[in-house]
Amino acid sequence: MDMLRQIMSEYELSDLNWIIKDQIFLSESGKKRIRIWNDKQLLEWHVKWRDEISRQSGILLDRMIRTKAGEPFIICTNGWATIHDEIEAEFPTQGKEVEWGRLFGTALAYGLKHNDPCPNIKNKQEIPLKAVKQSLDQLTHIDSMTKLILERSYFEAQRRNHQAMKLSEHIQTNKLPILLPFNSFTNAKEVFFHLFWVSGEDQPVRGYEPIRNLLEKWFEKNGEGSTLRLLETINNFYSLKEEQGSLLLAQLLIPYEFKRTVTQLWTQEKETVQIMDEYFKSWEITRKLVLLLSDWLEKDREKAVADAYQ
Amino acid sequence: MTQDHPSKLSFSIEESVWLNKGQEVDEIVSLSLDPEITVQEQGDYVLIRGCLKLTGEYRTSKSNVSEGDNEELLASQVAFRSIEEVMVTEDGLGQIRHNFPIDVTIPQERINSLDDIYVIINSFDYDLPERGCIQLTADVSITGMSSGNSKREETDKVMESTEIEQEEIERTFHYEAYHQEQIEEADEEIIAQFPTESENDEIETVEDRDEENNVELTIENEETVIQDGKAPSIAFGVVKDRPTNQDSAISQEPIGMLKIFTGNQIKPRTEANPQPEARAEANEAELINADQIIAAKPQSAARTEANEAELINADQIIAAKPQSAARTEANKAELYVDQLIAAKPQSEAQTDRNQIELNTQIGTEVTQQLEVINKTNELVAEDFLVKANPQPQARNEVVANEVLEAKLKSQPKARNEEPVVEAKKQEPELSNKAEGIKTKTPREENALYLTKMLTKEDGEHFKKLKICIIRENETLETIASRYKVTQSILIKANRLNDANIQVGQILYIPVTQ
Repeated sequence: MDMLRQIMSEYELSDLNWIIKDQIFLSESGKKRIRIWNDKQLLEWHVKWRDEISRQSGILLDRMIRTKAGEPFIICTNGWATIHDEIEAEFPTQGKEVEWGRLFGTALAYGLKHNDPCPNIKNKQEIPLKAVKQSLDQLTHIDSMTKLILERSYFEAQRRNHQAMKLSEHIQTNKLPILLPFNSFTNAKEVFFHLFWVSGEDQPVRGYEPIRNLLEKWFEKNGEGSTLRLLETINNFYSLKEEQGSLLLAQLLIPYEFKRTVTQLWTQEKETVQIMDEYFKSWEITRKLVLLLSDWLEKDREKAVADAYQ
Repeated sequence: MTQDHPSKLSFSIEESVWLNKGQEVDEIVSLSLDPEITVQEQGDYVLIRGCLKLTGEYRTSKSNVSEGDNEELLASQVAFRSIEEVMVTEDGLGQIRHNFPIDVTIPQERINSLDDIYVIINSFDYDLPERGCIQLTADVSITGMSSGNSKREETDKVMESTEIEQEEIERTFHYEAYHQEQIEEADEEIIAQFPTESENDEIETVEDRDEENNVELTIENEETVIQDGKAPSIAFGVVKDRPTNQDSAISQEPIGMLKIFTGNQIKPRTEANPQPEARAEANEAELINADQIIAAKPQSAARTEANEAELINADQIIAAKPQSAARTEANKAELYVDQLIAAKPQSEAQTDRNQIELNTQIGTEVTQQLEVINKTNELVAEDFLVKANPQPQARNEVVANEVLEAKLKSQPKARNEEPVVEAKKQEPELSNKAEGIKTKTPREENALYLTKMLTKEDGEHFKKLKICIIRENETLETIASRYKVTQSILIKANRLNDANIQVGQILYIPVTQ
């Protein structure tokens, strides 16, 4: 059966026409996107996550449009299909720290509370730094200066790793939130001046890597002040003080950019110059963000101590 | 026609650098190992010389303490340097500078083109097993060699040997060097002192050296050279996993493993400024036995097994010569071994020992001979009796290993005993370098000749055979005078036609009772 015909029969949608075949169609109630799911557990996790985050935060999400029978998905030839509103206008970041902070604060709080083992959680296999170094040693096609830069920064990367481990060791809990990966600001759409978050279909991950990505991109785009405001807002919904804040800091210290750069030099998908430019930039952003976050965490701590003495 | 195919010589370095108390490494800020080599043709050989330069910076716990009050601040704990900062030297950091001299001699026929020769650091990493120790590991390759050797195969028709040799070209050697307390303190800067190139140069200059304290050992026989430079600072051993068929000596070292220990491991350095006298290290000479395993014992072994034999046989030898903190004992050691001449140091008191030993202390200088041992048995002088009594009486009771043992003790003690040490060193050197001996016959002749010479052919009672490399401005007369022998003995011992000698030439110095 044609997909549009099936959608028409199962959803309260009419006047369906493909905009992009099998992906986006136009209906009488606007553009809709079809997502095909092969993993039902992942689908159900996403359904629940969107419903809960939307309910708790008041933020619009690309929730699954319900069928006539009230189901969030239908069975199709390739698995399961879900229908979502498709929005094009992007939501800004600068000046919108409250909305963003509320979304991610809520997601963090939900993710920490519902972090039970789930088969769909992506357990990222970290490549040991030493293995990356060995990989770097074997890189023969890069110029000596590039190699020197990476060799020298390896030691700082190792130090960062060490500091990250030290921070984590001091944390009593090993509980980490489960979050969806953060890839791009373009997932934030605007509907009547409100944030509409496109959650996508990625597997959730355990830990602070999505928040690190968000903060790095935010810091790069909006600077220190805006990042601090974002942190403050997130903190209103999810306490970044104490242990969880330190775990986020530990996450920021992990030298992903070193690993990423060596990998990119191996694959050579980009020019070496471009790869190294990005390396310098990402390293520096992370460095500044670490300082910002640690200062912010410290400031709260100092304030708490000061308040206690008053 | 033999097919040459590119090959490389690989070996691993594992080295532990122990820091002085109070200067323990809190973290390594940077560390790099860069080869700096030159490739030279010299006669039938290609010399690959230079060093692996280890440079780095570390932050000591002291440095962190100096950061003082900030230590409690989270931001100061987690702050890290930018890439730009990583690339510049930061004041207040301990500096690690450390050269690993490289000296590799390869027969010309093993080289396709000099342009193909590279010393490559395949991998390099470190670990901090404890705060006072930096453990370095590196895999090093020398490229540009061909494994075939048609000339030798045709000439000598020792296919078995060739196969072994070819196999071994591909073999990765394991090399270990351990340094203890070899990092010199200079404010915040610590310099791990290994003999530098300049020191090596210095070692080789006549003016600077103390002739009695310098040890030179060169055994070169067309394809075989064993050369030992100045006072060695580490024990050296090479084990070759070839079957032994002649010598009873059995290497204690694992097969295929080469271990190098710096003298500092057992001889802590206590002085920053080297004294000329202190260079005097007894360097033993020893033995060489062909077609056998070359094993050079670490000093510790040497201590406990004085005058015991270690076998040497070398078809491949890697001699590593770390620049020990004890520059005072800087030495240069080179082993070019392919064919072996067996030499057996004997002290009068220990003539019953038949084990073969090469118990030299050398640094991280690396030498490898890639030649096949062809008919080495022919070249083996049946246990040369190298008798030596370089110094009057009272000194000749101490055998070389005992001298070595003395050296291995604490530096001050070693220095106190220096005169004795100097007196008792043994420096047998064997060489057939004489004028490019190319065929088996001359080599045999040489071996036999040396055997005869050393076994009292002329009724002389040689206790020791020294080897001397002729330096600039040296004449037979000055050499004879230095070693208190007559020129005629030198002419005879070296089968010279006249008294003319050339720079670089090797002279055997028989020392009579």
